[in-house]
Amino acid sequence: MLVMPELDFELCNGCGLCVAACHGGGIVPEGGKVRMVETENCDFCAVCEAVCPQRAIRCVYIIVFSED
Amino acid sequence: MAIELELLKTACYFSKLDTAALEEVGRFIFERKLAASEVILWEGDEDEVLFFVISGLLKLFATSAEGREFIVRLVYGGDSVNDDAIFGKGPNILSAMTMSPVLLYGLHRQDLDRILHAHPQVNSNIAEVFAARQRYLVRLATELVFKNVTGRLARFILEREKLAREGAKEVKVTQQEMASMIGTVREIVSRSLRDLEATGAINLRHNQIIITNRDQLLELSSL
Repeated sequence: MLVMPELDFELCNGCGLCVAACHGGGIVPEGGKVRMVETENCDFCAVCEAVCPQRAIRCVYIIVFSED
Repeated sequence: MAIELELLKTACYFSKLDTAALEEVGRFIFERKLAASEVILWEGDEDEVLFFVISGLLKLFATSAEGREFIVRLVYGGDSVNDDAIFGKGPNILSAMTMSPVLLYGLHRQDLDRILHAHPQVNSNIAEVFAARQRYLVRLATELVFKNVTGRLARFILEREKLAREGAKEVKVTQQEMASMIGTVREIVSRSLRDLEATGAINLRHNQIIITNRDQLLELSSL
């Protein structure tokens, strides 16, 4: 399962700025708010997090070490 | 609610106290449980309470007039919050917000005075805490002055990965949080991540920052 940006539904006010900003189609409007759609087109650019005025979106990175 | 002495002993001021002393100290302690993203203290407010983080994570941050945030320090279990205002008898110099569910033990200023009077050995713990805190702040200041953003980001990634290994728990952070912690803005972090990837020190794979060459990242962290 692809990791998608985290959406805090309580904070979301449905402004749609993230929908417009997402170039991968990973965010859709729904029921006055928005919903994340799992898609391979999401490259975790974090622009959705940047444009959200409510700070409702978090693009969470994990730092790991590769032995390879 | 009764304070658990084993948990109280994890608080940095009281780690060297015996059970009898902990029982006496415990009578002055109160408990607070908070969810993530709750504010404990606001910069500039006058608070008479010293807090100890027993579990969870919180951030101490300063906010500019334009609304930019700079995370000065992350506070993990065992560490204290608001010492500077309590001992300095002034307003809070930083705001404090939880980043996860947090359990705090709190102590009012007048009760701290009673504890220090009754158990002077606590003072040596406090001196150690402040010395470590000063060491951390000096390092932070010199990094901000002498290192460029890419160097600071490289060091940040190395430190967080080390924490993850030691705690056997993955460390999660957003670009905005990284920016807040290294004193820059999200867009610069995004660019710097790509710069680091171009050097081969890291690989960006969707939501993972993978350290592929630790030695090179270490070298970049000295820039």
